[in-house]
Amino acid sequence: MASVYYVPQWFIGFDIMLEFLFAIVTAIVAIIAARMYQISQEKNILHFSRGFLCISLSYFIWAIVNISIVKELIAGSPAVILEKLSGFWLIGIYAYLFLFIAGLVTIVYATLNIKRGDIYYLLLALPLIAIGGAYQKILIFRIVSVFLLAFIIYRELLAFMQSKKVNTLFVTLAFTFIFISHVDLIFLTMRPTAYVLSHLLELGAYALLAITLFRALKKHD
Amino acid sequence: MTKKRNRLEIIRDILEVIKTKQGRIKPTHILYKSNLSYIMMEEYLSELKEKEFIEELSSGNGKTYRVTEKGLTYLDKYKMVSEFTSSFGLN
Repeated sequence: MASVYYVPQWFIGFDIMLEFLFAIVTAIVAIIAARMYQISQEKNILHFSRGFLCISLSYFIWAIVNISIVKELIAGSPAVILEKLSGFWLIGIYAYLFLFIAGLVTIVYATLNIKRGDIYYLLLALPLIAIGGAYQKILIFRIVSVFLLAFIIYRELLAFMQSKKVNTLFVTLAFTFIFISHVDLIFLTMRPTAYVLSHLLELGAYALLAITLFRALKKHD
Repeated sequence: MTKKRNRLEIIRDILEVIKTKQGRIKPTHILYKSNLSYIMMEEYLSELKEKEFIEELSSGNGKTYRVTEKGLTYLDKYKMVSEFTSSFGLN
């Protein structure tokens, strides 16, 4: 089964705008985390920043790939069959997959708060090898992402149960929305609404992250 | 019962203790005031020196510590950093 996603005609363009928005929000998280690292010199905050930077780059690349595909979609083809893409598109998709997984792995590593570079590289290598060796790369990518996101949600939930802070709850919910959006794209990919729903869920997620940042920084202006 | 401190809180407490006696505080005073074991205190002091948050001064009376500009910035921005890390579950 090829990895296909259906894009409703009315949504073409909106998806690209949303992807750029996601890239901007995640870049802001990365920049602010980098500033926190500069002050505290805590390595896990640096890893967190790098994780979000990778995710930001992945969304940026995905948006560029979508811009280049948009002509085909407007011409009437409602579906993008990912395995049939080649050249620039293929490189773009592989870059998106690599960066998104690298981002999630780095965030997982940041939440573990351990100082073992060998474990980080192992955590990074395993999913990339699984995706690289798979025929249905996008499907395996989504499944791996779901597992990594589930772990991040678990860590955030533990943090929330300890701190009882609203901000931590928002972050837990944000990652949960991203988790659901990836699950949606695994099981409902043949429906055009799946693509729209996935983007709306991610919009909700990144809105929550932006609100969390604003609340965390506003308190201490 | 008081809550167990996280890393950021411990670093803040050590820096606050050193700051109160700028350039005149000895390791034993830090040990009493910071509520840490000797081994933990040595580990944190070593880390804080590496991060350039504190500076070790040697004199005839032995070694003392003072907080650097970086360390003062940490104290100044501590609440913001703490809020950020607790919001994102990085504590």
